Amino acid sequence: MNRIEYKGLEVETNAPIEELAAQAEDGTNRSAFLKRAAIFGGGVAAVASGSMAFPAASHASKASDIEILNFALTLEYLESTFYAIGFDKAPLDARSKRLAKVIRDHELAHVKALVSTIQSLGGNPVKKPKFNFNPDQLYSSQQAFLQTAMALEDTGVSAYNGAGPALTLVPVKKAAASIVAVEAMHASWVRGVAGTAPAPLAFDQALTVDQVLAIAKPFFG
Amino acid sequence: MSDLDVRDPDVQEAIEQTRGAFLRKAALLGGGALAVSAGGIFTADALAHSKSDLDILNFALTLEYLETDFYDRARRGEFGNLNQGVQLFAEVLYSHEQAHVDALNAMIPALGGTPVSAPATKFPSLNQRKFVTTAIALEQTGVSAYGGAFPLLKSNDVKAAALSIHSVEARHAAYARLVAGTLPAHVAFYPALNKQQVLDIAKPFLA
Repeated sequence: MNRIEYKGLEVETNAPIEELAAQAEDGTNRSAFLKRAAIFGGGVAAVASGSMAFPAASHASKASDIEILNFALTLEYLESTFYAIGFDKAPLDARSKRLAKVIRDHELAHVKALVSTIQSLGGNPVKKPKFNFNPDQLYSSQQAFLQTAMALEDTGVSAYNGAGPALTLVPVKKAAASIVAVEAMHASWVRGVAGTAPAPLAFDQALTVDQVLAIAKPFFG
Repeated sequence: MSDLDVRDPDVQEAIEQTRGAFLRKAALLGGGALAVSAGGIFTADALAHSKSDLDILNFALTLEYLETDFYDRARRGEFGNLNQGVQLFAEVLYSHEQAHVDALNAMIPALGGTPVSAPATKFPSLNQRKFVTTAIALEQTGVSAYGGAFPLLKSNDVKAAALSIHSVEARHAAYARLVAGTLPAHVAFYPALNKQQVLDIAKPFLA
């Protein structure tokens, strides 16, 4: 992993820029986003509604997608728990506190969506695992919190990228794409706040399940 | 906004590391981008499904050309003087988008296709602020374009390559939003766009 010392990222918000960014979002992106959100119906929402049947999917492909979704769910539980504790306990400044809160909420939304999706496919969602977070290491300082967050987010991106090609059902593929993009945004955000390069590589790596588990293992109780 | 200097040797090194790391990572891609550029080792699966995947890859190439050109103009000063943090942002994104162009240009012929040429582009007169907000719009569109294309891809090799780019576009979008001082990750699920929707957004920049 490349680390870039990056004082430049501690961006002092320049009001006119922020204003323009907000305008860009409100004017072009927000209304477009709402339209897209409606289009997005084929993804998580439709799956979560439980009304979508998968008549064409073979039993085997469904089972394999469920297995991947359950693996993703385990990681999302890990992330959401980490941020929930970090938000409550880590000594964070306002900027990092906001990050912890927003990302925690996103990860919780991913947990809910994955649980619903697995159920709608006829699968059994895994239970929330027991975690073993070392408070001294993870929550003792803001930097410790951010370093762990960075490792979790970068791993999450690579986990979804590694699993993606094996997915078989289109609604599941859509859901996975919609989540991995947000994981990558989190990774970039955390890295920026930690003072390192938000996008260190031109291509993100893919990791296998075993590689991901090896990285995540210390967090499981 | 920033006391970072792109002429600083450390920063130069960081950019160079990004490029070197790209080559190493591309090697890790295996069935993805680099295997292709190294001599067209594609699986039978990829070749069998190449036709519809090729259309998608060529569409992605057009967007990557557009992004590359945009950041190249920015880093060369076409949008006015950029402060150091924004200059670095432009340099890093330029190098990534150029790497995506190179990878797609290698992959398409390996699958038996012909890469599209770089499109003629046009950008309005932008200052630093508008450059950053335009970058946000372009990167977000890129994320949604790859997100929309992924479920349509047939070959696992192409899917792996597309995913390795998709998440980098998402990192770029968050980076641009960070530079602009706005919330880097603003939704829990990122929306997808289809080809026509992407074209409608990109059209003003295509001459």
